[in-house]
Amino acid sequence: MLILGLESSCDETAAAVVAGDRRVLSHKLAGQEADHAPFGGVVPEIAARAHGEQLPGLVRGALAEAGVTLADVDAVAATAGPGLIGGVMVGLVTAKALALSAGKPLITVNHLEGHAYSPRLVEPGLAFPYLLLLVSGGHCQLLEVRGVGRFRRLATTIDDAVGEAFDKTAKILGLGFPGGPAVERAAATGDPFAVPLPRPLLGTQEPHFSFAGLKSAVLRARDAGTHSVPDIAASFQQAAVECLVDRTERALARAVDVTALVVAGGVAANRRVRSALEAVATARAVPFVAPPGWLCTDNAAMIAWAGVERLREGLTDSLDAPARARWPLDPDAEPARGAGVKA
Amino acid sequence: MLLVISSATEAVSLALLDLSDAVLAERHELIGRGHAERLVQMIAEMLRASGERPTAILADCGPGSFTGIRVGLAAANGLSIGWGVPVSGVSALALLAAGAPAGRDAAEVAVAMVGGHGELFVQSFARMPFRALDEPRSLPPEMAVALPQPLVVGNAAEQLVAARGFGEALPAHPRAADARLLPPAFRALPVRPLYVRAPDAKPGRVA
Repeated sequence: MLILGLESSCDETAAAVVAGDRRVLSHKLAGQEADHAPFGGVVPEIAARAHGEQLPGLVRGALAEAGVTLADVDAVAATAGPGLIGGVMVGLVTAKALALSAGKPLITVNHLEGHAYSPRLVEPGLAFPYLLLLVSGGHCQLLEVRGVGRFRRLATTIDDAVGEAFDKTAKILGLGFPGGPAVERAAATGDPFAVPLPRPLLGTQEPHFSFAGLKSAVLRARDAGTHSVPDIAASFQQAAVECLVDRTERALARAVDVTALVVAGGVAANRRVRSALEAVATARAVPFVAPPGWLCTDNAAMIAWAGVERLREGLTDSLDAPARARWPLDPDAEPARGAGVKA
Repeated sequence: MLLVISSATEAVSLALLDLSDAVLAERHELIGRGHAERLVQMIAEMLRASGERPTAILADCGPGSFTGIRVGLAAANGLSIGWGVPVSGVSALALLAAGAPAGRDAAEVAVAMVGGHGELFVQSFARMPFRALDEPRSLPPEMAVALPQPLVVGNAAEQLVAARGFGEALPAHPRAADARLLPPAFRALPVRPLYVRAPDAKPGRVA
């Protein structure tokens, strides 16, 4: 089985060809960091314009690098949401046209579903159900991944996503964009306990995350002028990691039948986050799975792989499938206070 | 066999032209929103009914709705890759100018389309022979009234004629089949969006 996958929901444009036996035959990616850097964040209209310019060349490149033509693939998969709708439309409509022209099925993929199955692309033994901490610039959720298309959301953020807090911290400290890697670099030389910062919702009974207060505290710490940038960055990272660990421990204690603790999404590329979560899994004698960094940040290989998972279940979509700005993985989840805004 | 795709406005307009530019099939619907959902489905239905496979694609590059333009070009690029056929671009303004009824004895026509933030996309054309008299522009209504051509076509034609107080308005959306009326040079634009307006975001807002 061969699937061509397209991704365009935020600020990475990507195309990839992935085989059912887990071979990544090609994965092409064009970032937009330089386009958005002057604005200190992703600008939707600029992102949509860049996706439109980049995607045709990336599709051609992904097919050529894989040494296949569109006639050789079994289906075309594309992110259909959630995300910045202008970019999602570019990828989805391109996929629809590719599917129509080649007479292949279309598979619409929830971007979060792409992250959720990505560990199975690199870990053949990873079986459902597993506990997933999905952490990125747009999302911060704990999910039980029970099967293809079957999710139970255990926790979400009531305000900002953790990756958003990293980006804002980088902006506040003048570390540049994207913020995650910049904060991690600055933190490497700082003292993680130098600056007293809050750990919102740590130890509380409700299962959710909150990062808005931490972000505001970083702003106050900078304005106080008494701490170095590396110390603030390291202290912020420490606080964020402790929040993730606390919430994940709580969920893991309640999820009795999971086969593994899995972390995915852009923030999963952070080494402190990975090592702290690995310690959580080890303490509970549960296997820990984190995809390699390139598979944590947005990419099309995970979308193609989600296409593999869905096609095996016979899940394909019609050419009038909608692009969706919001698309929760678990539509039946109880609304969290203040939330529901994040997918 | 040329597939023409226009989705830069509230309309989705499709046409299949043969090598002599005769119209083999046409679809033209005012759908308002939902281009990403409808466009490829409509192409599929038209091609299924005609049983033809295009050998080239012509796509409306705008100006118009930024989203509509991108959806149309994404579809055109995807089909071009899948079929292995060439794709080129056409301007929405030229399609509208070409579609103005030939019976009107005006030598020139102004095109006025709904733009962003209350502005109008405008351009002037001479009809015989067909040529552009100026560049596509995005103008506020108070500046667009300076267009001298009595005959105005487009989805902002009535607005412009009313504001200006003279001339004749021909309300219309770009029609894909009107590509047959355009000289070859107008059907050979690079496949790039004609946004005409820059994104609204301004740099420099860093905390």
